[in-house]
Amino acid sequence: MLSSVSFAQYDKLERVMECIKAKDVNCAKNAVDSAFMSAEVRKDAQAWYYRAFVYFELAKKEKFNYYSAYRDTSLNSIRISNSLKPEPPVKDATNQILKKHSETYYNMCIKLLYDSLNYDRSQAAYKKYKEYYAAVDSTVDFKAKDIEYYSGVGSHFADLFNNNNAKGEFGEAGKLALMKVLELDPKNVSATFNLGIIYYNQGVNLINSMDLDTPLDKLEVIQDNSTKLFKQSLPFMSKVYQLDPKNQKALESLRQIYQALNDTEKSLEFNKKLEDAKKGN
Amino acid sequence: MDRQGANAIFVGYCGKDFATEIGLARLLKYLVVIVVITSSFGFVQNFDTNAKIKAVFLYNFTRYFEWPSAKKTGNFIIHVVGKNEALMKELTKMAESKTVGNQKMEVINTPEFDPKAKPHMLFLLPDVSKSLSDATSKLKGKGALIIAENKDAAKSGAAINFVIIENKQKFEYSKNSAVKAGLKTSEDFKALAIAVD
Repeated sequence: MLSSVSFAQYDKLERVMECIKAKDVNCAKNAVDSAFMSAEVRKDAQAWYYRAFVYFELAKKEKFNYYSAYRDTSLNSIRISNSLKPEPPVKDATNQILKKHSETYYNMCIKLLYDSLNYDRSQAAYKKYKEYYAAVDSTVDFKAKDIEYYSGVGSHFADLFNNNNAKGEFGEAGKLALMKVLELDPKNVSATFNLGIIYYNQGVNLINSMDLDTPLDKLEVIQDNSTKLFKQSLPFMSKVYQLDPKNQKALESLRQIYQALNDTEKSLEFNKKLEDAKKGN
Repeated sequence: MDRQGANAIFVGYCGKDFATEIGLARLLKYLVVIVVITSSFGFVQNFDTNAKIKAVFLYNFTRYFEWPSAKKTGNFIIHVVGKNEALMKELTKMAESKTVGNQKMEVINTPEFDPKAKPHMLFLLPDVSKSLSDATSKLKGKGALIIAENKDAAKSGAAINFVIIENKQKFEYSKNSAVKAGLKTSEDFKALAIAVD
């Protein structure tokens, strides 16, 4: 396997392996950096795999750092190893590391979303997760994962918006993510329901935040806009109701939407359905 | 150590750690699923949009009418007749923070029309709409803006009647009724309303 590498360089790579065996990653880094001073080593796919592995281990200390230089070095080493047409066992081993990097990006995309609300970076990390996973397995279908990720994004932003309606940007981010879910899975109840809630709450927010001094002409505009939002909420909640006619949350939501739309008859109709559902009818 | 052996060490070490990593990924995946399923039922509860809109309308109405000089002292009384808790909540908030000129606002609520109340505004809710003719006759010329929310109320003595048009709250306005009530009115107001006379 290492026919092209001289014995001297072989010793240095041997040292890398000893360090790894001893679980001394800094020792392994020094050894691999030293070995890569040699032009001969840099032509060896397996040596690049070792480098990828050592830097992968180093990158574990920065697993939630999007800009980890260790990770970049590891990924670059994998690319070079693959470009040197490695033997199947080496190719498999580099793929294993690549898959782990991919998983790291997936974990990172979730942490970035929930901990720091950095949605742009989260999306970038998710894109890298897909890119590296697909490089390992070109047959993979990301549809289920996309639904899972964007459902998580959508419901997270929906919750943030619903808990603090002044944060309109959360509502918009939630809507975009949930729309993506519905593009992929038109019957996704959770996304449909959350979209209905966001539109409704945006409408309520317009009215709730209105000052009593609001002049009549401006009140008309606010009513126009809130009514549009209530009407946009309606088809989503109606769809949840169609999919699950006994869903009490959908019934309660429809009761409120129709009330906001000043449609007393329909509001009472859904109030009755809600009462019946509560009785188990 | 031969290279095959070295590979085995690398792959073995890598594999062990990978399992840990997968464990974390599964945990986080689980967390995402939990978030999706338990996403809170986020409707804004206990907020009646119609009540807030009516409060804004009522406060606006105080700007477009002039009450007789005898009613420019004391509190500015808004008398709501009938039951609407959400509206009362909004009007009470309004009374706490707003005035009409120098007059403090006072909101009272009774289940039936009480002619002794001497309000600046009388709002007859739909459940007491039958009191309109009684209120109109007893408050004639006494500087009370009568507001209703019932079909054709603006043609039956109410100066203002709330109506629903295209899912929105609007109001009909009878200038004649306002004048009969002893109020001076603004022409600008008519332009903002659905005038019935």
